[in-house]
Amino acid sequence: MKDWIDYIISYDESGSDARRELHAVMDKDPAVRATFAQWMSLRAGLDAHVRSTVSTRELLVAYVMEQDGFGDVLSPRERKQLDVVRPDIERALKSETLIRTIVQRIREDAAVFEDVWEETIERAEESAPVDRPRMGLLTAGHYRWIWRAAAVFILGAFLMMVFLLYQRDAHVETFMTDAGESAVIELADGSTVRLYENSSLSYQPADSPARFNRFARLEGRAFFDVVPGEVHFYVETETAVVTVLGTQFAVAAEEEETSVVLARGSVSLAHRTQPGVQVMLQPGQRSIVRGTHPPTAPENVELSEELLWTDLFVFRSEPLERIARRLSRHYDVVIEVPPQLAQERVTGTFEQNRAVEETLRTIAATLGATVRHDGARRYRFETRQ
Amino acid sequence: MAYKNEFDPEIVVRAQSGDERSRDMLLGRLQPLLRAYFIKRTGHRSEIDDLIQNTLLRVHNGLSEIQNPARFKAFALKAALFELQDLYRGRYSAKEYLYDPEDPPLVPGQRDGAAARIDLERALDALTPKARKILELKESGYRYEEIAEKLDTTEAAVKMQVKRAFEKLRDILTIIGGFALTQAVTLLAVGAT
Repeated sequence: MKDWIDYIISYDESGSDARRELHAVMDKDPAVRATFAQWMSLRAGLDAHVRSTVSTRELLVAYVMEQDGFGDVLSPRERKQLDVVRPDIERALKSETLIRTIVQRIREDAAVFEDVWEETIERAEESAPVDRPRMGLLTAGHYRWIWRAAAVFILGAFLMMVFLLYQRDAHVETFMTDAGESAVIELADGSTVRLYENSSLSYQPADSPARFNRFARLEGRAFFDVVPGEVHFYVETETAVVTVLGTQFAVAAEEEETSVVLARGSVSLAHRTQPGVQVMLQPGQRSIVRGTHPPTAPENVELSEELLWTDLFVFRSEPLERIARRLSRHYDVVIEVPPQLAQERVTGTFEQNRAVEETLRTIAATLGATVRHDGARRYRFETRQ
Repeated sequence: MAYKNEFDPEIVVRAQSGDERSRDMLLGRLQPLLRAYFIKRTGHRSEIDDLIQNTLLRVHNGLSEIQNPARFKAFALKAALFELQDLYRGRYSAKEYLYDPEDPPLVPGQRDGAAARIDLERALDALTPKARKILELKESGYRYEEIAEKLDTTEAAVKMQVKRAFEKLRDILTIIGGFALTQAVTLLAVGAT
């Protein structure tokens, strides 16, 4: 029998096949899944330990860059943040081996970058065309052949593009919902899409070529839960293209406007006709593509309010007292939160049609607390004794 | 292939002023360099495309911040180093629904940050210095192969140390009261799907 701990501790160095194998086992075996979560929790704990000294590791990078003569490329915001934490970093460098090790690694990373840069530039210069004495001007005949070759190339590229688009669209399946309907669709790669009323989703079925089965076209509204993969996942609407880097996000696409709200992971968003002009969203942000304009700058939003239409509660580091108020309104119950739990933060996604008690018990478990049912429509969080 | 004159300050200035062709040229020339760098640095093939994409996005989004166009290389270096730190923290590799590096649970089961750090610190103190060193090297971004080279041992021996340290930490943290959240994290993931 395989010892899955070996796979778990090597997870971040594994290839996609090994990870898929582990994911498949985790889906079936709660013990392996729990062990994986413990390992990730341990790594998270170590990361939190670092962040207790310096709020982000980027500031350690900024510190090293400043010390090693690259301070001029720091932005004003980075310099200001660095000024605040510099004494803490310098103190930690004297007393914390983990911080020293991270700084050492950053320096090694920087040294390798310099080497690769120089190697690439040198190789390019060596293969750069050498000046040769001109043998004479090209004749008109030469130019005719050059234009013909270029025309053949362009035509070939166009035909190839048409062929690939045909291949992509030839086996598309389309799922549509009417008023009052919603559906959950599982895509070939295991990603799921929750499609809401009056919407349609076109996607590649399981038997289409692998390079196309991470693509979907949306009209209307949907919530995507995308599994990480080797190939990016793309969602196209009438106005926008969302490039997904592995995550949960919501898209509301009307004729002239596409709005994207990110719950977890990261996505980049661009106008369909200007793919080079992109914005990248962080969790808890929204961007909108309207008409012919590029995406708006990402703005922070209240996730649970913004995503109410998804029939999901999406909480991202929200204090329990705020969550309790939201759940109270939705379920029409009273939920009491003692002061010592009020500011405890919860991250998670819950279906709105789950029973309130089930949702509350799950949240309580994450906080090491309990829930008491105090009568017909009354609940109370309590700390464990 | 990248040529020195394609990172020329003049091209950077044109890209900063909105010239798309110059911007595309800069990013297009940077891409193969980043690929070579990340492959050399991480050996991670499945994350390479994302590392490159995110670094290019950082460079693209931060172009206007470059004060001195002659320092494009250093600016690209900064972006690449930032992205590597995200990789080392596990942002790229963990399955999202089990682990959110943006808001990680502290030593699980503990609600108070300071108490959580103390518990983890106590747990780490129980490890041998070598085991602790290996975990710290891992957390800093070193691969097992690199750790083995640093410590003049084999990769198998390093992994065995990590496995034993993890099992010990699991036991200690369970006794202290940690990892209670782990079960709840599992419940959350199941409940949310």
